[in-house]
Amino acid sequence: MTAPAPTVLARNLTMTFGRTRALDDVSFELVPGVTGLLGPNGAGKTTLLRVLATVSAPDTGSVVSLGLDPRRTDMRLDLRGRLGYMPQEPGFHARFTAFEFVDYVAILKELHQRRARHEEVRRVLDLVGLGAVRRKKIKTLSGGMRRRVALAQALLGDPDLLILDEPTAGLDPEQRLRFRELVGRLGEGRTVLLSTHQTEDVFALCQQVMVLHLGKLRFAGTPLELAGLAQGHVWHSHERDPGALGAWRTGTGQHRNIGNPPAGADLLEPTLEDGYLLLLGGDRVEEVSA
Amino acid sequence: MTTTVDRPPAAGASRTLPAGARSRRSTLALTAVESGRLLRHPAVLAATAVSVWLLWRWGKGTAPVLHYADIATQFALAALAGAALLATNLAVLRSHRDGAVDLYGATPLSLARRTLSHLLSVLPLVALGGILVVADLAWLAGMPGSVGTPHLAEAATGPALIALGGCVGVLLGRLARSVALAPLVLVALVLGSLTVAELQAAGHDQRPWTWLGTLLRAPPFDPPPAALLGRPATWHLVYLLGIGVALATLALWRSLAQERARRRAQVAAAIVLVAALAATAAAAVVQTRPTSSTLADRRLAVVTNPAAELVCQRRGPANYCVFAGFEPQIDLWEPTVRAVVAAVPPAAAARALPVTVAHRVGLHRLIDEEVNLGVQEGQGPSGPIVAPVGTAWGRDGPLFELAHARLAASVAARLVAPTRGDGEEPRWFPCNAQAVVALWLGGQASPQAAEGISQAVTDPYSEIFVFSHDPVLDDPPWDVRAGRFALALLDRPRDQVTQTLWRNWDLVTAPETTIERLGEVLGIQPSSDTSNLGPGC
Repeated sequence: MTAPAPTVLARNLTMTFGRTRALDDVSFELVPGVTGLLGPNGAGKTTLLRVLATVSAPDTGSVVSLGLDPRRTDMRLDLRGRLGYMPQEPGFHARFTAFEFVDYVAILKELHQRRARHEEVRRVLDLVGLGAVRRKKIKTLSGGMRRRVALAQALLGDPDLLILDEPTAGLDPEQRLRFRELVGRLGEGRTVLLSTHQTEDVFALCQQVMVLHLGKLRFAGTPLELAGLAQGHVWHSHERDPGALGAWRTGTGQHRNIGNPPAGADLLEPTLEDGYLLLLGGDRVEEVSA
Repeated sequence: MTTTVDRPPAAGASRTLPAGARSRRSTLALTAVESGRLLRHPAVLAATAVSVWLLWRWGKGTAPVLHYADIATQFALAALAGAALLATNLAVLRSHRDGAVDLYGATPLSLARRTLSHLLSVLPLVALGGILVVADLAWLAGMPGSVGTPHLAEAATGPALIALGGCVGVLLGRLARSVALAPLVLVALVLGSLTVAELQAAGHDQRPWTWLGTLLRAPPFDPPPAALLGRPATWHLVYLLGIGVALATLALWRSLAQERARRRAQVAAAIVLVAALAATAAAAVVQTRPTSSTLADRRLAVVTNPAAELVCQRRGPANYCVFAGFEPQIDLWEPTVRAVVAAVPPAAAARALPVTVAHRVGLHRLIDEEVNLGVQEGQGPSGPIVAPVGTAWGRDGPLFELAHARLAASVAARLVAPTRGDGEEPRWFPCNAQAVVALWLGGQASPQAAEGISQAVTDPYSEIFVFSHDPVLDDPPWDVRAGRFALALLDRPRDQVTQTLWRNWDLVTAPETTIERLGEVLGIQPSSDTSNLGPGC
């Protein structure tokens, strides 16, 4: 079976804000399916997503999405018509109802025919489970419902490329489960790039994962491959191992350690989180253990 | 949540249109949404109520002069213009205030088209302003005594101000992200406009640069005939529209630059901007030209030889001489004149009639100061002595009551002391018993006239007895004691006073009869306060 053609081709993306290099020579390809983007705060995830969503342009480098180069005005506008973007902070107009807000974004997405547009708005709101509250003002909705409104507007027009920035932030476990179900189905036949802090979301949803750290792309591969980086580097002990890069007490009372295990250590099967933490190195691991 | 994520059939329908057509239709769709929100904005709703109230308040109980009423609509709609400025600014800044800039930035409808939508969203509000103006002028035109014809450009200036307010609001939103800027700019514009309007009303011929303002008052109260106004209304409208187009284009240009739009679009915007500025500059120059010599001569003629400008008709006890087109006002004056005549003994009235009632307007603010001085130095009016009346008339309000009182008292003065000899001015000053009787007669005309006399008594320089067409010439101040005595008489039963006055008519109207002697006849003790007698008493 031949590999699917890449939907997004990013080459040597660099973006600097003052002295901070938010993106440092980042290159990658996205294929149809769900790709997770992991990284700590300040890694450059949002900057990268904004570039892919054509909200901002990189200082250097290029990105071609769906065969369109956003450096050309006509292609940029065409691309925007085929992508859906859910920002980390969507910026709701609190006095709008859910319907009015999504309808407004629908117009901005050039769904100009009123009847068809309203049908589409109802469809996406039903899709995220908000059909019953579409006439309610956004300021009266819960945090989880607002996230779903944000997702609904990203789904308008059935985009070919879906960019979701921390879509599960602030959701409780049940809401996150629902979100995963929906995003998982959306990934069929589309390209979805999902940025998150939650490694469980990546493990549950993503066929591919990228890790961004200090503006650099540190990993691109499958979740299993990322977890495999920690193969042989995870063990448990009764006490915290002083030689471990990081360790924490689990619910069983044992300590889970990451790093270079001593001889005879009781090795554990690594998880995605283990691979992620090991990849980021000592600083990040110490942060987790504190 | 539902389980279906089938690709919807309608989602791609819009994409079958070419990109340009899609964007245009989307711009109109967004305009419709923004228009709806603008019309429902609390500031707009409040301003609409204020504008409606002002139009009703200013028109109620008046005998409208439509070429003045159209100017007044501009001030009434100024509230809507301010609301348009604030509401459009808030709409433009909505994405910044709510943190939706990134979300909007990822959509295909460009920033320039969104700016265009905000600019176009003001049009329904402009139409609302136009409807208010048309409704107001139609209402006024149907009132008794309505005269004149509205000027299209004057009537359109109010709605143009609304459009201008919207353009300012959108531009401010594209230049700065602060919501505090628009209110500050609005306050500055209001203060500036009112200052310029006051300077302009003081005599725009002396200050032609005041036409560069937005709100331009007409000289207060008595409206002259439209031909004598000399307002460059059409060019002023072009001036305002030119500023609006320039500001709108600047907002679009700013948007195009921010989104790295094609150079061709930016060049087109620059061309439109230059054209708008050129039109604005041309209109600014034309509207600040000095008054033509023809118009200046005609204004002077109205003051120095008003008879040549007036058309007269005899009705009952009076000749009414009015500016052409103002004939319907005669119907409003007639009851006052007849009521005064009815209060005079028939024999005495027969000696004095007919009284000539003639229009007088305050053109001195529109006339060059040198000419004013020349008139004061004795050029004076020519023609028969008349009872002057202004062109502003109505039922309610202190100014209208004073107008009623002036007409009634001026007619009464001629009945009390008719002209002696051909063209000879009545030789009396408004003192002594004649003044009291004339004031009492005037108070019989109507409740408004009586109220106006009561007002005037508190101000001996308020010009109750008027002999001249030209308000520049000083009419003599009159005796406050006479006024107070007249008020005391007006409080007495009318029949009782009438009988006594008619019985002693020759005595009470003789020039040498004092107020004290009149008091003896009527059985009333006059005030002993001899201050404020005036130079003639």
